[in-house]
Amino acid sequence: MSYLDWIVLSLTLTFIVAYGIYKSRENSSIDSYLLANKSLPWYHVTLSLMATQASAITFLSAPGQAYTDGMRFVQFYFGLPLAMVVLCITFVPKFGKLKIFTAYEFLEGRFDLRTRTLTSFLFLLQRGLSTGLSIYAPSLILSSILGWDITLTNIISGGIVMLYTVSGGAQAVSHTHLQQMGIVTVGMVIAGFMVVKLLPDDVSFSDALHVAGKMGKTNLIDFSFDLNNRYNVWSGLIGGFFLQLSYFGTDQSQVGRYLTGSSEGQSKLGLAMNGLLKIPMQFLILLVGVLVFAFYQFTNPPLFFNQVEVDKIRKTEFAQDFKTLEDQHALIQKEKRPHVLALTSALNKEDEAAVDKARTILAADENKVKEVRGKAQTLLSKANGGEVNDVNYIFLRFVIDYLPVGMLGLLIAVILLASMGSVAAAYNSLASCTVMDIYKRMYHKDNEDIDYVKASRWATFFWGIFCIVVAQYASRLGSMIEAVNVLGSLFYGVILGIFLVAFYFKTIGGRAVFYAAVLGEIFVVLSYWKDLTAFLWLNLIGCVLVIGFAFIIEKIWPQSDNNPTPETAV
Amino acid sequence: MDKKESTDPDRDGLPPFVSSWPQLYKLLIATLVVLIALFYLFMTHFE
Repeated sequence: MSYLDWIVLSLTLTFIVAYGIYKSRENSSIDSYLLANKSLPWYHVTLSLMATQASAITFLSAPGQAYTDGMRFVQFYFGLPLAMVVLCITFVPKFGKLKIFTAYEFLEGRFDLRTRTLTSFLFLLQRGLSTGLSIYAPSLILSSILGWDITLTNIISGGIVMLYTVSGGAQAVSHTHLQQMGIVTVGMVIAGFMVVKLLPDDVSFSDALHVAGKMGKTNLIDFSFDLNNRYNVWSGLIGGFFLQLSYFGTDQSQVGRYLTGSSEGQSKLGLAMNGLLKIPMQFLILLVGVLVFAFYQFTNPPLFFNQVEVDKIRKTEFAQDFKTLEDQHALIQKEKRPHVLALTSALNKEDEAAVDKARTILAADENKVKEVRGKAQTLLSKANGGEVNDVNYIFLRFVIDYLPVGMLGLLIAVILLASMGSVAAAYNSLASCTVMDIYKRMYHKDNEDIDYVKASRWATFFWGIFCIVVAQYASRLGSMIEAVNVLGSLFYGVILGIFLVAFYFKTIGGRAVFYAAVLGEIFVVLSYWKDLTAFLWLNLIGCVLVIGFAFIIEKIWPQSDNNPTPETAV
Repeated sequence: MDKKESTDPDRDGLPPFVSSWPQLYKLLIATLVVLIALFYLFMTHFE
């Protein structure tokens, strides 16, 4: 990196951390530390929700995902606006009435302590692990660029967030989210313009999209119903709906964001605007990936995008084999170039027959590229014994190789800030549950407010360390954005099932829902282990199983004292 | 639900271009349908 890149990166990060610490000056009450005094307007809530969901993984993996698999990933978010509507109608009014700190407090009033504790535990497990992945993503960037040790980079990137979340709590988290989202948006828009600018002079934005489209990368919509197809309209609308409903309705890292709204209306509008903006935002990020794909149709791409692994194999006995594959790859690219130009020429002349011919030839070229890349990945795995998937490196490698001085620093800042946004919210929520659901509820019910603030700070510190440790084991999971969503799908359906029973099945008691949740979770984990269905459907399966099991258990083993009303409980 | 929401005196947070919360929810769902349609057109145009 150049000096200018370092200056841009350092100034951006210093500004955010300093701003976070500045905003954490007056944090003497637990209301302030965990809920920002319930004082934030709707746009704060919206940006905080978006910053929490859009981690570094979003900006690293999604363009790479579009490069390799096209834009079909956008369908994953189709259930989100529907989930926002259900949240506004059901969850927000319930949570608002109870004046709770964590979503799981609600469950104790409706069911019992063990259901609250089980759900809180499932959340702590899932969020603690997935936050490790969120820390790993930017560490990956720094280790690639600077050649730093991955352990050290995990400690640095996870530790920066601890600087202001330990002292500032929800106040610092929400206020820094606003600045982070502003910088992230500007950075990604500039990156999109730069990709278009780097295209050959005779290739327009529209030509680039036509080339990518003809090679199957604009595959945004798939109406076919297939349970084993990860991304289609139905898995997005149905599976995605349950995942998003569970994520925003029962994951404390998100619930904690809209609990900071100054009123029920402000929280609801914050959620609704999130539903409005998220899909277009994801579309634009994927579009950047497609443009990068189009760019590499006119410029030689590397055989493998993770330079660290390439450098490693060059020092092994497999170096010559890898060189041979690189030569083969370069030759295929050289042969492919006239075919791409033939396609753009046919497109400009609107010659359908020539377009079809060029498309068929390019499909064959792409198969050759895939075959060589597959061989390279197998060889790298054999030689280095490490990562064989370079999806997360595609965008990063493009930025390093082609963006001008200063832009690299800004883009790295964007990725780090995105990571900090989600990690900060996660630390804060993990601390909330640890203190309010365990420390206060089970051990220290009547302490002074300041004691809970201190406990929350220690809990934030503990979870920061835990997540950094998890990040050390995150390097072999393929596409990280998928890994995070798979992990969420293992737990979210069950947690959502518990909440839906709480809201809509008033005759079912705590004992039935507790055992139903345990059985449901076992079944979901087995389904994933045995690869019975695509992961998005696990959300629906988990949710339906909890409701079904709870209903059956309540029928055969009724509980006589299961009528606490949520309005009066907690 | 609609009636209860639209007569709610607390209109805090409701944007000026809608008259009730249910109307905002309908707008959100309509936007989703429009987005899916636009994506479909985008895909067919460039494929």
